Amino acid sequence: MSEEKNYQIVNKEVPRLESWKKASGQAVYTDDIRLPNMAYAALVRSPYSRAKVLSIDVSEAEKVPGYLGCLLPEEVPQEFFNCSGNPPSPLLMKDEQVLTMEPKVLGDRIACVAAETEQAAREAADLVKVEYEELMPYLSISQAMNEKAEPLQPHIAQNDNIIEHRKVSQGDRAVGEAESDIILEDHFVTQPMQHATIELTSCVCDFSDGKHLTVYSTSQTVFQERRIMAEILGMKETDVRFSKPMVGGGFGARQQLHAQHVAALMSKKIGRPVNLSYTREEDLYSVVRHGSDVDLRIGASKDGKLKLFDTTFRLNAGPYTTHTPTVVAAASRKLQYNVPNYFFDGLSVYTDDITGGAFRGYGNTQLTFGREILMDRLAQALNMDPVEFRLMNHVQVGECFPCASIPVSSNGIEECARRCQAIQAEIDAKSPLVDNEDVRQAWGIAFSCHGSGPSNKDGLSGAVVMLNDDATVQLLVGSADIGQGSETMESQIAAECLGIPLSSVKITAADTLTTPYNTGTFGSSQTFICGNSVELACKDLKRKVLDQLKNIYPDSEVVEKEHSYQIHGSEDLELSFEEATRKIMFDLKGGVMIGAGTYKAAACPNPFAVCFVKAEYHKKLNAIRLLDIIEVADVGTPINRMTVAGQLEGGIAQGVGYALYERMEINPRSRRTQASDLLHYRIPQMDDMPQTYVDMVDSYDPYGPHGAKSVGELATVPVAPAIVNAVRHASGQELNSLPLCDKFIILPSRRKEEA
Amino acid sequence: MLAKTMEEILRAEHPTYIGGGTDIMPLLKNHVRNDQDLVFVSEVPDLHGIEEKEGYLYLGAGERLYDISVNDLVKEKWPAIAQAAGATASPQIRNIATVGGNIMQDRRCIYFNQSRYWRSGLPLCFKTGGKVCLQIPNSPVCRAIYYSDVATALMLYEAEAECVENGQRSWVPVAELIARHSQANGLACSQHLPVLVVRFRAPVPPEGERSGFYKYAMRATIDFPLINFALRCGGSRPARVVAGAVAPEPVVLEETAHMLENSQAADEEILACCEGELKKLAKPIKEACISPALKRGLYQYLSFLLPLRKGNG
Amino acid sequence: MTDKQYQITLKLNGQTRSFEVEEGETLLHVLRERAGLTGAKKGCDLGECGACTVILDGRAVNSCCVFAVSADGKQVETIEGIGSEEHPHPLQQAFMDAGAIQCGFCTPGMIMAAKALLDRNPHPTREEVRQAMSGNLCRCTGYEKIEQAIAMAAEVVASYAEGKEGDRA
Repeated sequence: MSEEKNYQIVNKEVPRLESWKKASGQAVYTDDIRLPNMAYAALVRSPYSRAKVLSIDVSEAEKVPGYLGCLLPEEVPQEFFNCSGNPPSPLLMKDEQVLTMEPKVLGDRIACVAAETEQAAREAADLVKVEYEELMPYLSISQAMNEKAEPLQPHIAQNDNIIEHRKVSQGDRAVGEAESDIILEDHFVTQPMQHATIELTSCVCDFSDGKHLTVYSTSQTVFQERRIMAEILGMKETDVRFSKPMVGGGFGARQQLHAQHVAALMSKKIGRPVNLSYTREEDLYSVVRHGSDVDLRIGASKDGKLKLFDTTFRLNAGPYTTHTPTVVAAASRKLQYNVPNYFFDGLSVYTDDITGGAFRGYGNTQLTFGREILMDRLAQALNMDPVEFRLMNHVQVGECFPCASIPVSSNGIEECARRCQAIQAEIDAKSPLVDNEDVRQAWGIAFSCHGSGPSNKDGLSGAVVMLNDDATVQLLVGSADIGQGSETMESQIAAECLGIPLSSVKITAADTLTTPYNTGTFGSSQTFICGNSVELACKDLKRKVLDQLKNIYPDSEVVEKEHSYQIHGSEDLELSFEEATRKIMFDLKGGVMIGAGTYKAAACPNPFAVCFVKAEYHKKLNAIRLLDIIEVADVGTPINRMTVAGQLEGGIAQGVGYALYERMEINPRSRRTQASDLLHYRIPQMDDMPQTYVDMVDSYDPYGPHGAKSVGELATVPVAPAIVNAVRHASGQELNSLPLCDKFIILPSRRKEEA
Repeated sequence: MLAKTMEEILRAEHPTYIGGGTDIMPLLKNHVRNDQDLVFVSEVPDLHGIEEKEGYLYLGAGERLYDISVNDLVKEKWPAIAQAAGATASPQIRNIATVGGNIMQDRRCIYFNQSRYWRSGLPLCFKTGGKVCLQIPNSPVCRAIYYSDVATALMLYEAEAECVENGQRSWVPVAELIARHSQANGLACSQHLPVLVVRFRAPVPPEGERSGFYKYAMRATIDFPLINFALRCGGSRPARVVAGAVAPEPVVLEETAHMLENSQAADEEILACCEGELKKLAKPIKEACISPALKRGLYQYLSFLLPLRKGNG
Repeated sequence: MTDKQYQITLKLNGQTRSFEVEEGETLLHVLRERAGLTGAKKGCDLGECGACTVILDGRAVNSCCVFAVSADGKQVETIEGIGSEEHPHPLQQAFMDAGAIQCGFCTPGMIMAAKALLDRNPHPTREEVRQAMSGNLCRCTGYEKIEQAIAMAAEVVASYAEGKEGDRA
């Protein structure tokens, strides 16, 4: 499967192109932008999760020195929209408004004020007096699905709070049950998790003239955001520009509009550019990974063959559809085991909880959690090794996932598992598993997969590569680098294709004014979807260079060989790429060489990962501690090995937080957020992390640019179930919910000095 | 005002004394306090110094927690103080936060340490000038918890604080200062104690005494303790155990300390005693990151300090 | 709090600079809004994430929780003052080389916290690195490469100190 290639630039460890800017503090993030005459805006938000606004009194706010103006619900467009940065789809029901008189969740936007300084804007926002009639919120899926519950969005779900009910199946349930010698089932619950990007959500909007709007914001999907914004404002897309500055992390939180619409309307109203930046508290309740409530049954025959997979999968959407039905749809296509009888019953449920949105591991995290725990219990019940049990049921190249239509095109899962086992053996040789009266240590494992690009093959990307006379190129792509390193990888792909040094590629990305369309940074797309378009653009450029040379040397035979051009005819010449470009640009028959590539997803190759976790349980203290985490992935050809390793390490850290203590919820008693800052929304710190080991196996995917698949989302998916499996073996307790701090005291990892 | 001398400090009319400012800054940002006259005291020479003199450790209230945590004298003879200072908050905060400020820190509660927005629509609580405790509505007083780590350690050594109040300078036991502070701190900031802490002193421990501090927090740093303990034993004076982060002030575990005096007592018996005593003395409230049941499980985490009984802690 | 104004003077990256500040104003606000230095970032504004870390009289502090008034007369080092593209600080070089930078938002605070550590303790153990850096949150990297970068930089700093490599430090 692996294709031997002598790569010059890809499959190497390459530092980020923008490293120096970031290391020196010069990188400009949204909140670092200072436009002349810029004002600051702050939102007035509902403290109630369901209420009606009775009145709004701005008189006290107006007295704040520096107050500039206020936007009220009646002043903004009233049409419903869906903020999700997905391409248009019937699954994206429109049910959100710019400002609302009927808040449906804590934090809903009621009004907006502007002032000369950020402090004055916040002061004024706090002083806007809003009178509410508080209503009883439905904070859980079961409350919202209760037949007596009122519909939260009657224009979408008239009689119940179910946004969409997705049924996908193959085979026959009765046959699956009959052929199974053992069926295990449980009810799994995962909590809402917040992205907690270190950069706060922010935008700077300049709509001063009321005709042309420029938006600088924390964005993953500039083209979708432009489209939705143009629709809301009734403008042409050419009059709306989204330009992405440096972005401090996304993980899905910025695959949507946040408050750019309000800031734009405020800018228009006061005739000045407006900065609207969230506080950490606002960021925390703005969007979460959906909490889930999952019934799952898996059946197998005595010889370990899976026969039945039957799930009812419910996601807590919060009060707005945003991504929920597409997350559910993605969940239905992520089963990497062969199961002849597969039943997926997916429900997107409205509640008054924090709005669910995109989050790294889109639709994958929640179902894989229960699945990999149940697979572990099944292996134990069948007395089989948990690795071999999974491998014997795993989908192979040429086979399809249940209910999926594209065959798996490359698969290195077994190598991943074997590499994990090798690292595990080294660890255990150094520190054998402890089992005494106080402490018991154990390993747990999980498998995972993802796609490369949106699983419905929505992915589409253009790329333009423009040749300069010194054989350097300008590369234009619409994809958003939000910290994952896509600009570097796309430049590497171009340099490899063209046979030029990486330093000869200058990339411009994610500006709707100057770069070609790209679906957006989500679904782990950018290496695969955008990378393919870059490869096509470079091939197009090379073909044009060749054609131009043929024009210039009409009587000669011109052939390209290893990035130089051999010309045989009236004269015999060998032109380097550099000489050829100079010739082309300045010859009498010269031309401007522009390569264009457009890639519409022809596939969605699955990357695979295996995760092993070593944990210990302290019997008297009821405490757990994570010791080691290994994750090995098949990502096809890693374009940038340093970036892939970084994605795996970062994915592990997010998985650790998800498993141990992160939770973003509205407390049913106080009806307020339980975590409103980073003291109480706890993400792991350096000294909380166990020892991690990451690696990637040799692999090559025929559809990928230079054989590459994705990594970003994949990396975090197997971590939580592997941790839970380790803890279940160490503690002897069956676990079916997160986070583990509900059941155990978490001891910080606090690694001792390595030998 | 950035004071340089004691005279400047004492000239302020409605002063709020600030050491490093790390505790009060978020409270001002959250508008739960509206102090009128900020007096920065940490550069005044009288508030500095770490020295052993006439049978006591003298510790300036303006000394930074980091400096205390790495001070060889403190580490050697009053290890619980150094350990507690080193376990407080985060490295950045320890670099600027002072021991005086740490002792005089605000008590905390999930209904209080919140933004004006978060609190909007809820009645004012005792600490924000209202007449109710949102945690325990029938409580006549604020039930917010006092989370200082260093206080637990200072109380272990029966430390005293030199305070200036109404122009009078006097030594008072730290336990007494905290009790008064805690009570006043359960009200709006205009009602807080007008006390300036100048320095602390703790007697030199007897030969052979062993002592230490343990804090449980969920993460490596920054987090407030979910519980902390300080313990001393093995010397000529009585053993002593103090626990923090369980009530509006640190609690002294006398029964547990008494049992520690008995070298025959098994660790399990001591832990059971500690658990029982804490069940009586703790005043639990709802905390953001831990359930009451799991918090009770922490009552036996004194076990981390029991190796001190054998002198190998 | 009142809106009293104070004049303060900082030795900011080696230059003496004066600012008019309000009583409750933070050092972070002075740096970003008055001095035009946006390298220190606001990630929480409550002293919980470390993105605003600068060095105040040799110590790493969260500039969002330092009253500007209390910094009067002190030395302040920020990310902008520790190296140039031609001569990056060894920590800046190591962060780039090790791949310790992803989204980069935590990077200035991380580097300043690490610089304060190495200034104080040029030979930290890995344990000391992890403890000293735990007040700085990162959501992208999982910290592995940051820890490696600091270890790499420590070696370089130590070799300068021992005079092995030219005269730069």
